[in-house]
Amino acid sequence: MIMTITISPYILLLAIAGFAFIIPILSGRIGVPAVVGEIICGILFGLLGFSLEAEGRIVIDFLASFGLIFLMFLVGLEIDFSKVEVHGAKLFILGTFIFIITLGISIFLTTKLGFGLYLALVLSTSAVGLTVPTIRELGLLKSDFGQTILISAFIADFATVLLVTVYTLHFKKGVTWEMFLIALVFILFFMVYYVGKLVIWHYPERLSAWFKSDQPTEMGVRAAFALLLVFVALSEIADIKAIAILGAFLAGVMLSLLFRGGTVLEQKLYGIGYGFLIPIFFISVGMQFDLGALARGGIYLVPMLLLIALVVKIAPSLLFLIRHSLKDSISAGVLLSSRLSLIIAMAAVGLELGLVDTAMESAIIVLALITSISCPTIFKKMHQKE
Amino acid sequence: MKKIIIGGGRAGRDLAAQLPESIIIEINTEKREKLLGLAGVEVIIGDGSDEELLKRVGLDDAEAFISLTGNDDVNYRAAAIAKKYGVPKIIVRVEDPEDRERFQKLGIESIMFPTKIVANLISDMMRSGFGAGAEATEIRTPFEKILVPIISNDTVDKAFKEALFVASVARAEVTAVSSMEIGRQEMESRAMEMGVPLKILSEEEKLMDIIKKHLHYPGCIILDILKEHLYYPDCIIIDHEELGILDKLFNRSVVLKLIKCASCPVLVARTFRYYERVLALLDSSDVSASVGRHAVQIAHSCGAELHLLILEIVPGELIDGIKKMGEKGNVRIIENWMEGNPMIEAVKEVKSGNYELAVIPWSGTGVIRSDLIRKIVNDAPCSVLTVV
Repeated sequence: MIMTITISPYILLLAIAGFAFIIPILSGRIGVPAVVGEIICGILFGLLGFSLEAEGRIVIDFLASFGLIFLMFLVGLEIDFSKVEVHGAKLFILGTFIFIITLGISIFLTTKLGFGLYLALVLSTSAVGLTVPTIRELGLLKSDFGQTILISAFIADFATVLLVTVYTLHFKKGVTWEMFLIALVFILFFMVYYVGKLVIWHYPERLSAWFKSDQPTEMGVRAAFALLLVFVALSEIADIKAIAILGAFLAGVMLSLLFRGGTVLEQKLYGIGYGFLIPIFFISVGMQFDLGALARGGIYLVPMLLLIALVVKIAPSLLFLIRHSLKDSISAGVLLSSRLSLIIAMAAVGLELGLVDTAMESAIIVLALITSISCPTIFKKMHQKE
Repeated sequence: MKKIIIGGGRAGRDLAAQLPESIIIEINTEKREKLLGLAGVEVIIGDGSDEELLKRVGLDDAEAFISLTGNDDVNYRAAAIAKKYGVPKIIVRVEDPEDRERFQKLGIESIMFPTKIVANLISDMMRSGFGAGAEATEIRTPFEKILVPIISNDTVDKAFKEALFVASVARAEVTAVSSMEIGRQEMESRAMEMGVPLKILSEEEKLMDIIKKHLHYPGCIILDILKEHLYYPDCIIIDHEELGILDKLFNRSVVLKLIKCASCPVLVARTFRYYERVLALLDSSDVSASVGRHAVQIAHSCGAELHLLILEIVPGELIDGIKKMGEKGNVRIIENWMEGNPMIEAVKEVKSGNYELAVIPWSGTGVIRSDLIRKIVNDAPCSVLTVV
């Protein structure tokens, strides 16, 4: 029998903080990403029957929601456009073609199986956060092969966030003036980028201190938060979470474009995100994970989703054959098949808007758990030196 | 136009022999005999740091003032007077490199440290004479064949002038691509003054007109002209260009297009004098080794200090290699490991005004982004050498 325990948000925060501290240690030993541990921990919390008073619920929900936005900000920060610049248009074109084919197959398969376009978009995502460390670990970061995979993952994540935003806005409000908000977000993005470049060139002395480790006022962190919230607040006008996600993502991209390699500031932001806000989001996702819905039908969706998730990435990756071997091409497809944070975020947005049901959301989370563990492992095995 | 040379020693005498219409001022009466043998040179016995004397010989309308005595104080006083009277070109010999700042404060644009340059040259010769394995230990000159596209009349006073400075210390030859209309004689006379071998490849049209005609051509017309002449330089020195917003938006930069197409280093000239402090930006890209090598070679040839700004974690061998090369070449190297943001620190250093030359990678996989590189090439206050 499950007993429902009512606890205050501070006690739950304490529990989350305690687990957030232990999980990476345990995950590291088992060899799974910390995010997987956090979701499982959240599921266990849910199973134990933790519930919150109404007031506490608001606090945790807000922190989890801000955790999601911060996660998207950090995903944007991961995108390194210099890779595209250095390796030129060819890799960019190849990555774009791969994404178009992925999306095409995904739409075809999900439509055939009677699911909507939203699922097709969700399944077209990649996981830059998993791809970068895997490629780095194998020493492929500077190789042509590694760069092609990275650019393909960047394009997939960027395009999916954009398409999901457009789709959800259209779904909720139809074709209205709010569509221009997306254009406005992009205009703002380029304006801030241009002004930012001018400021760096004209006032490097003033900015320099923001990125030093001994800055007592933490101006860099404050500026990053302000930048993030400008985009998020603008996106909130339309009251669509996906636009807030796009805004946060673009704010991350902006910071990456302007200050790529600002290690101290990046480390501080990673500290705030992965050390506090993001674990709350993932544990919250786990707590809301509907095991009942999974048992009632979601579990049967998992093999189908897994198959689509692999096909939509491995088939287009055969385009890698232009420059690489068959084994490399298939392995690239396998690595691009790994999904984690973004797909979970997209599932959460879809659930909120009623575009996916709880069974599908649970199945998507299980898919993320499976692919995030297995795909990088298979890729590593395929590239292990004899 | 007059050229006034202070100091009638060997250097002053040789220089005067190459410069028509020059006046040589020597304090030592015993040297008078030797100096009188120079054709077309007026010899005056007196103190080169005496303002009245300098006024009498026509400092007011002198085109160039070159102070070559072995005494830094005399050279300082003489240069200060020349500066006061607004002589357009002042070149000063400085014996003690520690005197550098004093001369810089005076606003002298061309300061030479013959002791250091000679020491470096001798050490090169010594190394090259050690027989087997000598090649491995010798510091090579940075460039042997320098090309200057004479884009406009101004180029003779800008990129061409800087090319002569570089070539004179690097013992390189200079080739200019130019139209018939641009002052060939002036270029030849300047090259002769500096003792630099010069070739001129003539084009029927003005180079700028040719470039404008081929604005949308995907390659680089300047490099195509060179191929027609079967000439392959190991460095190209070009004027910096003023770009408007539209030029930047539509990517209409002649310099950037040249750098993009060239397979050799390109130097964007802005300093027009000898380099005393050279800055090298290093990141983890493969080009950094080449950036370091070129920076050491140039610093060695000019007797300059080399400042390394290391923008991210780089292999220890890279820095060790550069330092070893610097030791061999008697180059003082100052290491600066960046703390903070690499983009901002790079901009801060390049814009500090402390350097005459910045050596940067053109493309790489490191932290120095291509938009930052383009910005430095377009807007840096010093000369910029891009290395591929």
